[in-house]
Amino acid sequence: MVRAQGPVIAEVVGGSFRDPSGFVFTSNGTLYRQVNRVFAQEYDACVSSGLYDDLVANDLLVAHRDAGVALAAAPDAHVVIEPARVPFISYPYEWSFGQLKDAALLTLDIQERALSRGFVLRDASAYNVQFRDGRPLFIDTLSFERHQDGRPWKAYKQFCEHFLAPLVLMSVRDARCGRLQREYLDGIPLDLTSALLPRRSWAKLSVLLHVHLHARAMRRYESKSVAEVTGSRSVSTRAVIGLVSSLRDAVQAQTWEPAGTEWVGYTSDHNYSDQAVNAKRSLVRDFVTAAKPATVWDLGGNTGMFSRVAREVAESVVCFDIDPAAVEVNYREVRRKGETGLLPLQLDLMNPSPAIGWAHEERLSLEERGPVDLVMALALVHHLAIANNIPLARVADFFARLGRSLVIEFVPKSDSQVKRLLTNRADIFPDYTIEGFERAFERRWSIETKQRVGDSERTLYLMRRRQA
Amino acid sequence: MYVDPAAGSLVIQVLIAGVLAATTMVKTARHSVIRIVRGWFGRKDQ
Repeated sequence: MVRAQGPVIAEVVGGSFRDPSGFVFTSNGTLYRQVNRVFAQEYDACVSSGLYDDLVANDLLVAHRDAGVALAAAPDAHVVIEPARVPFISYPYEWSFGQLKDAALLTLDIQERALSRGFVLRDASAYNVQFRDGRPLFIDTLSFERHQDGRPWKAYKQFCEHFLAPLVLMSVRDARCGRLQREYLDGIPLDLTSALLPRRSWAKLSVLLHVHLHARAMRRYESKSVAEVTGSRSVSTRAVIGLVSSLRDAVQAQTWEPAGTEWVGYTSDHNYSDQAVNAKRSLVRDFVTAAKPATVWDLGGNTGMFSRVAREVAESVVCFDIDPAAVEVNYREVRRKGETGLLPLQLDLMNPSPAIGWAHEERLSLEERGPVDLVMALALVHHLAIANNIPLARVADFFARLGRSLVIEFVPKSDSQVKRLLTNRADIFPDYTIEGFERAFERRWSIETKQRVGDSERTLYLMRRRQA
Repeated sequence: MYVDPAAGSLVIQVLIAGVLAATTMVKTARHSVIRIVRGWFGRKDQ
């Protein structure tokens, strides 16, 4: 965060400081957005056109209230608004295929509505979208400007690189290609996308046009003047509407079915009996109730069975899992049932989302988005300690940086899941015992309650972080 | 935010503008026909 120069002590939120038309800042814990005078005409035109009201009424754009220009965090303020807060800021490289696709369709919906009122999205960044109550929500109130007939859509390239390229790569190549978004913060370059796609993708008209030919046009006209190349020709508003419609068809055509990965069948295949599952569910409910959290991160939460138990108590639960298929299954469940307060996200705990972008300030690390009231780590510790050689003390340390309370399950070596992990490797983990586990965790956590889970060999703990 | 539109990205839109506009016209016309036909059979317009 960067401290703003102004009458109010404010912290400018990373990711918004590249836009001269305004920025997002926090002051006394409240989130505000300052609109600068340079953008006053566009902003006022957009508000008076009814576009904002239309988008907010349809749950497409985050609602805001006027907070008064006295709260400005920097000179040249036109207005200061207070947008409704999204419970957890997530990034496209943490979304599943379906989440990215829904975010793309939301962006196109908004673009169509904007065009119908004579406006246009001046950017089409995937970072303008967040998830609230299972649905994508556009959060950049300053993304609109008046459309001038004859002008092409200048955010076309950005839309293709932020949305279409990762969707096509995930759909046609491999769902893990979504991880490229973390490397390419301004979208996956179209020439790279084109090179990674198989030849058969040239046969799809929408991919041919928006990815392959688009990439070649960008290379061919890289340093040319558009006016010199195109002469007096222009792009009618009807053509821009056609472009958006074509992009919608291209996005809709991308599909991916979550199946066949390691974890997605885990809940049904694991070694728990139905009785033990019910016992675990009941224990988790008791422990979460005792912890009274408002916010929960369920690490390694698979398709969200225990996140849903936590959600009975907490307002906001984020369910993280490494497996894109598990996250997709979870997200589809959230959408299908209209569940609120539960956000499935992809996360590799061995390489969690770092602070990235300019000066490490544009996108927050996982840790910077915490701490939360409660961290849940069910059936997870053996994967970290045995499959990935993380000493238990370090697991305890990292979890203490993420949350104030912890519901954690210890899975002993005698458990079939741990035996499976040790099948083809030497057992170099002499401290991986229940005593060693408690010893390692008690340095940072105090054990409030522990209980064996039903007829399994596993033990569930509720711990509170010790004061540093 | 201000984005770099890339010259090629603008050029390709100009090059295919005619096709895109025609597509929009066809889609609009198709919707109109569907609406009229639905009207004949007394179905409510969605």
